Amino acid sequence: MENFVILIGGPGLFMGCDKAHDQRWSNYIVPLQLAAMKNLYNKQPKELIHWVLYEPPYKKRWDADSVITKAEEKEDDGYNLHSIRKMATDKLIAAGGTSYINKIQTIAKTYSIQYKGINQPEDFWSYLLSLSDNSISRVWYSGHASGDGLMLALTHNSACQATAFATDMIYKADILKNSALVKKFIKKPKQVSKFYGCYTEGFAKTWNGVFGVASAGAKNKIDFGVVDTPSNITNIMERIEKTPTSLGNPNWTEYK
Amino acid sequence: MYITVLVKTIIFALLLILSFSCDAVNTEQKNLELLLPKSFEQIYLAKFGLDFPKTLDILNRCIQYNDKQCLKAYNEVTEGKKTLQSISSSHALETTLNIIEKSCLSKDENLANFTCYGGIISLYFYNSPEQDAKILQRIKIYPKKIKNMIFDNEFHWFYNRPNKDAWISAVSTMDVDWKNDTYKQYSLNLFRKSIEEAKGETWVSK
Repeated sequence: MENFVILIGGPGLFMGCDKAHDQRWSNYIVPLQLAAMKNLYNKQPKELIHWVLYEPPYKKRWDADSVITKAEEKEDDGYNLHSIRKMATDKLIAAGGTSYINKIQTIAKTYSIQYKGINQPEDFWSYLLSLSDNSISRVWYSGHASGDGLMLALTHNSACQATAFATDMIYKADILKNSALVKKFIKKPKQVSKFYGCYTEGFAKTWNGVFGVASAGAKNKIDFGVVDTPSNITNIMERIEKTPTSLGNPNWTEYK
Repeated sequence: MYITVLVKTIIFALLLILSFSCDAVNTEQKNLELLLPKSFEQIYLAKFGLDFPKTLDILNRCIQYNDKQCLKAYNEVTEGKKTLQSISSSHALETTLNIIEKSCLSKDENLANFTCYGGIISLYFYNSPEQDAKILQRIKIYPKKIKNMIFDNEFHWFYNRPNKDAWISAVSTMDVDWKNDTYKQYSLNLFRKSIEEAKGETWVSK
């Protein structure tokens, strides 16, 4: 048995003042769902896929989206986005779901993916530690990130600037601090660990250096929204790696 | 009679001057207490902002592509830095250390993050030997929770301490919840680094 672990970060709350981030709750799930549907993971017969979901932002977002206040109903943001949020949660409930987390768990079950919910960033390291020695074939990440590390949730300051709380971060330096996990990784696996987030190249480089496995990340921004845009690149994950953003080419970089 | 009136007038004048002076101190203190948290929230973005350009390469790219989010984040941080540099004084440091203690223990998420960590980040601007000693003395008596928040992290001011040995010695025996020895050694090594090693990072070079 080989373990392919995918850590999934979450969205911030919907913010009418920030049209660039997390207008939809499912940004970091849909590409992974499509990848499972079409086997874009290139899943190996021996591999078991794990979705490790950072649950707090999905709980917060559900609470915010599913109850639209009277004040919000009247709010005119030009896009009726408050209604769209409510419609999304109503649709999910009509289909038998109870929350975003429940929906993600259902998707995972559909594709025989092992689901694990976590509530603190350090739970991710504990989860890797719980796996057998010499069993991790690769690790992926899907979510927000910056040069300092993975932002498992997003928030906004009083100037509506997108930022992360310090308590929602997995720092690049945490890889070095958890170097003892090297024994959990298969030596020279064929598969690549990939970190889908903005500016994750440094994270991937450190991951490669510490755990001795091929790793890849973006030198610049990436855009999860390209899933919905017309493209010649049919593989969704490859499209995220290659489609230019407001800062040009993502410069997807692999370390072997 | 004349002398008594003169003495009374002098005393009155002195009291008046003292009163204005106290008012000035109070006003300055109030200004600091308003200015500092706002600046802390701004410089918080340098470490935790999604769109802040961490390196000069990325900043140049932001300018080249006129990326509005990135430039907005950069301008926020620059404004915060300028304010902090303009008011950097022993009095501002004392107020900063007080704000850190109060906000880091707050249950309010915004205070416990933007103000607390922004305040910690701002210690970068206080690196004279006197200021450095004052920071260390104060951190030694901070509650353990704040020590954990500081040393389970990586801040640029770890690199620009004038008395590195004092920090390494103090932190190595400080009451901090290190997850394991690797964490502790990693943090201690940060104080051995030079600020020169962070050249190329926007925070240090701009």
